[in-house]
Amino acid sequence: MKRILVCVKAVPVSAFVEVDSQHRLKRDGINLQWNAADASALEAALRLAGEDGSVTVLTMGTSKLESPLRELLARGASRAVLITDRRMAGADTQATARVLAAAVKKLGDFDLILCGCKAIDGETGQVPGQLAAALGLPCVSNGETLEADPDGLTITRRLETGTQELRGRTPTVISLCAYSYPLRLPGILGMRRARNIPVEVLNADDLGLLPEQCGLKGSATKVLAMESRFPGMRRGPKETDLTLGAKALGQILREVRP
Amino acid sequence: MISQNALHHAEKCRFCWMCRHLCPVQHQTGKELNTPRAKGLLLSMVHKEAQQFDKDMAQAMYECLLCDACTNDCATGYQPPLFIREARTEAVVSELAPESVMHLIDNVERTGNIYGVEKPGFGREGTDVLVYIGEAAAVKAPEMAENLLKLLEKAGVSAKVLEKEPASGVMLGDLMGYTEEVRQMAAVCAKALNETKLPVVVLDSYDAEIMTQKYPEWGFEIAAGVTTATAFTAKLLAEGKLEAKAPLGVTGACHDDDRLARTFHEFEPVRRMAKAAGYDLTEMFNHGKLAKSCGTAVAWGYMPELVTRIAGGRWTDLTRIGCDTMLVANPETWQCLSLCVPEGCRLVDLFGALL
Amino acid sequence: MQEKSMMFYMIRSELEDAVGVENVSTKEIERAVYSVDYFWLSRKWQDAGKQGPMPDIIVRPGTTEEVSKVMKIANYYKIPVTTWGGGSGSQGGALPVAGGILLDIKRMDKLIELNTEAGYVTCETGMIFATLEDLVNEKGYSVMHLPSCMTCCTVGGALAHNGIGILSTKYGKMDDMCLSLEVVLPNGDIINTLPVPKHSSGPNLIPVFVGSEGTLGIMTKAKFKIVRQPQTRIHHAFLFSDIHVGYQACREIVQAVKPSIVRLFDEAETVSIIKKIIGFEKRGSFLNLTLEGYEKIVAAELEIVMDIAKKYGAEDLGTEYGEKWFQNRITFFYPDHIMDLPQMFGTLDTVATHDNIEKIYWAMKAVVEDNFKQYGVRFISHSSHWYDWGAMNYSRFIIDNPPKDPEEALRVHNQIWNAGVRAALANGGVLNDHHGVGLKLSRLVKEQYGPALQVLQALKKELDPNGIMNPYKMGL
Repeated sequence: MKRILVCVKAVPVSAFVEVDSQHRLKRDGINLQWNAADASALEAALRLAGEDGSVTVLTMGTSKLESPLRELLARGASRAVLITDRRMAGADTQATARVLAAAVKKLGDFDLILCGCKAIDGETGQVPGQLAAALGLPCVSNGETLEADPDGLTITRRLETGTQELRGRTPTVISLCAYSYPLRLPGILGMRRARNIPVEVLNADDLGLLPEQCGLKGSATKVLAMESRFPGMRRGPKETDLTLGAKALGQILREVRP
Repeated sequence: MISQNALHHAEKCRFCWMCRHLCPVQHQTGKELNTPRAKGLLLSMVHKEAQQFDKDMAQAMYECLLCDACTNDCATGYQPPLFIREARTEAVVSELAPESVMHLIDNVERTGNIYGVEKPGFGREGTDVLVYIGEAAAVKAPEMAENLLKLLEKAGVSAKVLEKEPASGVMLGDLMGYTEEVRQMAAVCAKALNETKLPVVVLDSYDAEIMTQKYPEWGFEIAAGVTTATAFTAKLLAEGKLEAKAPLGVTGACHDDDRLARTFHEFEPVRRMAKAAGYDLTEMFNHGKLAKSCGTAVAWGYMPELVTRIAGGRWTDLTRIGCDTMLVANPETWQCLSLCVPEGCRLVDLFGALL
Repeated sequence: MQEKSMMFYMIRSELEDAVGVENVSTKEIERAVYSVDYFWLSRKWQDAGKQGPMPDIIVRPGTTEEVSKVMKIANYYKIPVTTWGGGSGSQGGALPVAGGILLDIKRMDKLIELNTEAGYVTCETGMIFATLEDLVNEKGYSVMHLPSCMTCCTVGGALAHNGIGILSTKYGKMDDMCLSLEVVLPNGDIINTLPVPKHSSGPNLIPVFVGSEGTLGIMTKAKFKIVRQPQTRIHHAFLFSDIHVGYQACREIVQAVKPSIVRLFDEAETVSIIKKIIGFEKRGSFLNLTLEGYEKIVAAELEIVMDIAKKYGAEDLGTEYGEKWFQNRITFFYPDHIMDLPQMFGTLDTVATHDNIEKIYWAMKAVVEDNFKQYGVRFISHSSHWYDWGAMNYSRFIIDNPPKDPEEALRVHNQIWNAGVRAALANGGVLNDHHGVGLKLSRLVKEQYGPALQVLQALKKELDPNGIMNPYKMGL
C-alpha cells in the first residue's frame, strides 16, 4: 500500500464542555486530544504503509492544531495538512465531508482513505460515509482489523452481533473502531525528523470552495436545541475505602443513568 | 515541543503554588526554579516564545524526582510530572539534556539499566509465580531480591525468575519520557512475561507502575496479572503461609515509596509486614499518599549529591519523631536511604526481617 | 545572554564569596521565574508573551550572617534588593521591578526552637508556612495561622505584609502572633526586637517591620506564640435574608463571643462561589461560623450565637455546610476553581469599624458596578475577619472578557482599583486589609496617609538612605 490518507479530529479531553449560543462546542482554552478511533486509523495506516509507503494526516480545525499535528508527524506520518478557516466553523457532517473531499482531491491520488468510525464529541459516525460518497468511492465502516495483499484488502468489521470479514479493493474509504490499533508513541528520531516537515495549511480559497459551501452556511442540518444530561458539575465524595467508593460510584451511576 | 495535553497542564500550573510545600527537591535546594509552577511557567514561556528551551532549562527539568506528590495534592487533578517528563523528551530530542543524563541513557540502551553493567541473574525455575526483580534491585539491592525469593520459598511458593530478565522500560521512561523507544523496550518485556503465563510478582514498585499503568495503554497487558511484592507478601501473611515473629520491642516507621504510595495507594501491606516482623509502628509526618520522597534510583544516577541530601531529609523526619528505625520494602528507597544512615539509626529491609 | 560590564562580574564574584558560588545565579531561566508572582498583572504580562520584570542576579543566602554580608555589598554599590519568599503575594510586592539583586530566602528554613511549655516557636523566615505548622502540629500545637496560601508562602512573606489566616477572629493576624524578630537592616546590621511584644519600655519595634514589605529591612528569624490544638472545633452555617441583616448579626456575635471563623457572604457570592464549591442552592447571605476550644465553653458560646442568629431571623443550616466549607477551604484556590486568565480580577479587601464597613460595601459595589458596566464587571464580597470593633470586606471584581491588549487591560485594571480603593478611603476604610500594598497599590499610599506619610518616610530615609530596599513598593 503506497499512499494512504488518514482523517483525524481533535476532540475535548474532558466531558465537561461548554457550547455557545449557536450550539457550537467552545474549543478555545480547553484541552484537546486526537480522537481515539482516528488514532487507531493512523496506526493501521502506518503499519500498511510500511517503509516505502506514505501516510498523510488531514484535519480541519483551528490554527492551534499545528503543533498537535506535528506530534502525528513524530509518530511516523509523512505529511500533515491542516484545513483552517473561520468560515468553516459550525460545519455539520455533510459540510465537513465536502471540505475533506475537496482537500483529498487537491492533495493527490490515494490508494486508501482511513477515518475513525466516529468522534467522541459529535458521536455521529457520518463523515466517513459522506466523504466516500463525495469522492465516489466505496466505504466500509467499523473496521477492526485491516490487512493488505497484492489483490486487495481484508477487513474485519464489528457488528452488533459479531464480526464480519470482507474483501475489498482500492481505492476505498474505511473507518476504524477505537482501540483496534494502539497508536505508537513519538520516537526521538521521529521527533527530530518531524521538526523539518512543515505542516501544510489550507483554507476555503485554496480548496476552491465558496463560503456558502462551508461552515454553518454550508450545512444541511442545524442544531435547534441542546440539553445537558448532567445538571452542573458534580463533586462526589472522595473515598479512600474501595468498598465505600464502589458504593458511591454505584449511586452516581444510578442517578445519571436511571 | 511538548504535546498539547502537557502544555494544557503546564499552563494551568504556571500560576499555582499550592503544592510547592510537598516538593522534596524544592525543600533541599530552596530554589524557586524547583517548584512545579516554575517549570510549568517556563514551558509556557517557551510556547509563547518569550524564553528559549536551552541547556539550563533542560537541566531544570531533570531537577525533579517525578515523585508525583504534587499531583496527589492537586484538588483539580493537574499533573506536573506529565509536562516535566515531556520536557525531558524535548531535551533529548534537541540534544540539550545534561551529559550526566545522556550517559545514563546510553547505559540503558546498552545494558537495560542506568548502571551500564550486565544485570546479575537470579534465574530459577518455578511454577506458581514469576518474580520480576528489576534493574535497581538486581544491581543495587541484590540482598533484598534474595530475601524476597527466600521468603517465597519459605511460604511454599514456587517462584520462577527469568534467566535473562528484560528491562521494564521504567528507567528509560523517567530519563527521556514515554517515547516509542521506551514502548518498544516495554513490548519486549511484556512478551517475555506473558510467555511464562504466570502471574507476575514485582519487587520494585517502579516497575510495577509502568507494567500496570502504561503497558495496557500501549497495547500489551500482562495477561496473568501484576502484583507488588509487598501486597503479595502481605497476602501470604494473611493466609498464614508465613508466620509472624515475636515482638522485638523496637519501634520503627515505614517509608512509603513514591509509586507504591501514589500510583497504587498501597499502604497497609508494608505495615502488615512490619508488624509481622515484630516491630511496633509509628508514623513520620507526610506518610501515606503524601509521603515525602527519599529519592529514586534514576535520580541518584545523575544527581547523587542532591539525592543524598534528599534522603537525609527523610532521616531527619524520622529522628525528629524520636525514632531510629526506618522500615522499607523497596530496592530504590533502600538504595537511597543507605546513602546516609545517621549514626545510631537503622535501615531495615522488611523482606529480610520476615525471614 | 545580555553582555554585562566587568563590574557586574566583580560584584557577582563578591556575592559568590558571601553565600557560595552555587547560591548565586544569573541564568536567564532562573531570572525569568521571578518575573511572575501571584499579581494578576504579572500573569497577564506573561500570558501575552511579554517578559515581566527580572532581577539581574539571584542570591540565596543560608544564614542571617550571609544576609548581612549581601546587604553590605548591595548598600555599598547601591544595588536594589528585592526579597522573595514564596512569590505568592497578590500585590506584586515581590516583583523585582528595579532589577538588581533578588534575595530568595528559602534556604533559610530551619526550625530554631519549639518550646511547648512556654508556648512559642522560633524559626528562620524562609520556611514554608505549612512546614512550620506541620512541625508544630507534630507536637499537638498550632500557630493558628491558616491562610489559603499556607502551602505556598514563607514565614517571611506572611510577616512582610502582615498576613492573616482563616482563624483570625479568635487568634489574630501576624502582628498578634509574632513575639519577636531578628532583622537585617539595609546597612547589614543584625538587630533584634525586644524579647516580648507587650511592654512599656519604649515603642514596640515589631510593627515597624511587620507589614513593611521588605522596604525597611529583612526579617530573618521570627518567634511566634503557639497554642494547643483545640479540644473541639465546631462549624455551623446560617442564612440571612440579606447582607445588611448579616452585618448586624455578626457584629453582635463577635461583640459577645470569640468565634475563630466568621464568614459572611453577600448574595452574589452565595449564589456563585459557595454554590459551586459546596453545593448550597439558596439565595440570601450565607454565614459559616466556627467555634473552638474547650467543649464546655464552646457549648456555651454556641448557645449565645444561636440566640443572636434567631433574633435576626437567620435560617439555621446546621453543621454540614460549615464542615464542607472547612474541608474545601483551599480547594477554592486551585486551578479551575479560582479566577484565572483570561479573566481580570482583583480583591479590594479593606477593613473598618462596624459603623463603616457596610457603608464601604455598598459604596464600593456601586462604584465598581456603575462605572465599569461596559466590561461586564461582576462584584462579589464576603467578610471573613472580624474584631470586636469592626470587620473587613473581601470584595472582588471579576471581568470575564477584559481587553485582550495587556496595556489596555492594565489601564482598566488600575482604574477599577483606584475607584474601589477610593470608595473605601472615603468611607473610613484603608487601602487594604491583609494582602498588602506592594506594587499594585503603591501609588495610593500618599492618599491614604496624607501628611502622616512623613513618619514612614523618615524611617525609610534613616534606615535605607540609598533607597535600595524593594524600590517602588508601598509608596516609599
